[in-house]
Amino acid sequence: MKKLAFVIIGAFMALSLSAQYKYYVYLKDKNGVEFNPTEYFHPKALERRTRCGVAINQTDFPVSEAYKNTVLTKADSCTATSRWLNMITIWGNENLATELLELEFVKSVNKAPMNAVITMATQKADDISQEAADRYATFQLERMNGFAFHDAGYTGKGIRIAVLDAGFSGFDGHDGLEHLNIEANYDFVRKESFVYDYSSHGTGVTGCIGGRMGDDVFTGLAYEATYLLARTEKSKTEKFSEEEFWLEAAEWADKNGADLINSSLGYTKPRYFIEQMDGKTTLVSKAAQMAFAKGIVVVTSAGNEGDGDWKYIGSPADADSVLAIGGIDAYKDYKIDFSSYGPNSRGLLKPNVSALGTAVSARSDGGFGKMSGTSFSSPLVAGFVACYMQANPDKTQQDVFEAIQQCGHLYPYYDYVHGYGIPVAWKALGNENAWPEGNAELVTNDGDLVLEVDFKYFAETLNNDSTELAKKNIYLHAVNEEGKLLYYSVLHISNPAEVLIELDDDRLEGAAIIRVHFEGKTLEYNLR
Amino acid sequence: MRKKITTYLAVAFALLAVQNTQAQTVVLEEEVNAEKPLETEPKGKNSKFDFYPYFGIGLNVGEQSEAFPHKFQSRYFQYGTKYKFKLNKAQSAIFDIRYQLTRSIVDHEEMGSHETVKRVFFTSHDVAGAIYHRFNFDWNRGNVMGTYLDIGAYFSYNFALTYNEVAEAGELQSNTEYTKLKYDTPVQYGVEARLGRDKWSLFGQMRLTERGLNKYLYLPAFEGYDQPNMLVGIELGLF
Repeated sequence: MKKLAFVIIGAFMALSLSAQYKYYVYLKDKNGVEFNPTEYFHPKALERRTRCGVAINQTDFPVSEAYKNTVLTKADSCTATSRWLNMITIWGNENLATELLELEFVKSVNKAPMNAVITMATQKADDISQEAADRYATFQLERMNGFAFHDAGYTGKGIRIAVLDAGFSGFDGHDGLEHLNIEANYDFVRKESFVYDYSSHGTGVTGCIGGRMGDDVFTGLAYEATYLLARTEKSKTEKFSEEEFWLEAAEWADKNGADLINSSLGYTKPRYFIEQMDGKTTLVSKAAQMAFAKGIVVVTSAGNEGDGDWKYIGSPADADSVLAIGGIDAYKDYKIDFSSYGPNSRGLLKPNVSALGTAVSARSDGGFGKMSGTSFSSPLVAGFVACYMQANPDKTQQDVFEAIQQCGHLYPYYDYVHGYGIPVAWKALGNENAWPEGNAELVTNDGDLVLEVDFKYFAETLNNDSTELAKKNIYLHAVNEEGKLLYYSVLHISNPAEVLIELDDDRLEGAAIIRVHFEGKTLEYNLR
Repeated sequence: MRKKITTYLAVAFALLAVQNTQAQTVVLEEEVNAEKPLETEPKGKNSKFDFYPYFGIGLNVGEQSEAFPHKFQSRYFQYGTKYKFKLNKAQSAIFDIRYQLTRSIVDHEEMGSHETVKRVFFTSHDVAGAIYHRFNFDWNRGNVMGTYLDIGAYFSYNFALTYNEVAEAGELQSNTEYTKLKYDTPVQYGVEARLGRDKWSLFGQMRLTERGLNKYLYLPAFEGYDQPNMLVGIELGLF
């Protein structure tokens, strides 16, 4: 019997030692590779690169077939190839990794994360009456002052949007989506040109970018944009290849001339730790950064972990140049419960901006429903960005990134749940409102530190109605000299005649500036 | 007197709280550590202390006593909680408390001349405790990720045991159940090992004591009967 015990334990250990791992094999160069960019890229891709000042370089060249074949003679299989990262993903054992490192053209071999991840925690689309759907859909765009774009003739026309998602079930033939110009689609999971199955997540997401309900009601702003649909996810339980599929899809979007990528996907635990949400560690963040470097604006959901154990943003929302979108409660007008917190682990502002966290959009059954999740906040902003890009055709990706932040309704106030707030079209179109002057002073009130806020327009706007005031959000943050947030809050005040905000001394330790925002106006008080 | 003061203080505090609520209602607030803005959740890393529930299923395997040549089948289910205390980056001590259910069945075909008895089975309910030494091969991911090997010992206490005998004679069928039985020694012990990766682990358990069940078996076919003392199975952690 003891012998049997040893045999079983030995077998377990042998199984462990012979386990197969997935590796990212990074290559040193692309020597000997011939490449004709005009043949390879869609003319729109070259146009975008010219506009953004992005030169064709080695990262655009395909991976050397000779190198790839040499690696494949030693590996069991290859699952993805990336020209951007000059990388091949392979399956093999640990000995193989050591063997590959001896090849002179191999730069590094990294073990890939292999744990299943659950993301896309969106609620099931709720049934909603037609009248309520019309009203809410209009509100979700009006909250961004989006119809100002339509009134000015900006509908995303000429902008190419790639949607990377888990599937587009019910998309084909849907009344609310049939007007969309779909130029190409590709399933990177099954390696075939058919994405209209598996999951309806992408259907709802695309509906929030450019869908419509009949002639007069829209669910997204960019209804005349050109779309590229890519499936990169196995819905719900995500296996370890999705980030590679995302990378391949981003390269495909680049090749096909995408100006904008929307990705309502995120990777968190158990694959990663929170410290790794630094914008530089995960494969999908590297891919998103590279897409931006190629001139593509990347819009992604912040995540739905705000009320969960993880709490913070996922990846690629952690990447520096990605527009990470938080969710806002339509009724409270501040952070919706599930929207993930920022910043990234290097302290960079995330989410960058926000949109409503619940949206009406297309369902797989051909109807429309109300859906919740930052998955739907992201495409609302993507539609906004497409209209902005149409209105500003000469802007580079960096210009667009900064402009969208400045369009935030809270700008220049920011925090780690709303970013700069909801982008609004009147700012994008240069119709800046002339806010009355205001002032903020620190005073002491019976020994307590109080911020006395003189919003001259409080009385005008609200007619001294304290009930109305109590419903309005006042945003307050304290930052240190480096501009890093130390504290932020959303609060309600009930007395419009005397807006005094009580401050906690402990929370102001190290603070250099206090900003307070109310209804479009940000007042700043310098503590130094 | 002290009670009176406490009451006054509570009333004063409540009044102050009400006044504050009227003046200013904070609906959302966050403090941020500017130097290290993201906190690591306790369960993310190989933390000092961690616990998680799990369940497992398994089978008895191995040779039966030579005096009892018949084959049998057994099913095993366990549900418990593991408590981990990190010793260093690569090693931990694990304490495990669990409930065990074992059902062992012997079919008629294996029972020789006793044609009316189609099958017999024992169902035992035990509580068990175990302690293991865990070797983390991916030490920085010890709680929820990585590969590990546990080696340790367990003891169990049998708090309920039943014996069923299912017999058929023509069209007549009977199922006779004997309850409130006990092992010869209700406390059992043994050694166990476990190889885990992430939420999953394979385990092997070897009982070093005899259960002494054959005293309940009057049939000559059961002479020398005891369950094999080797158990293998699979566990899943519920995080």
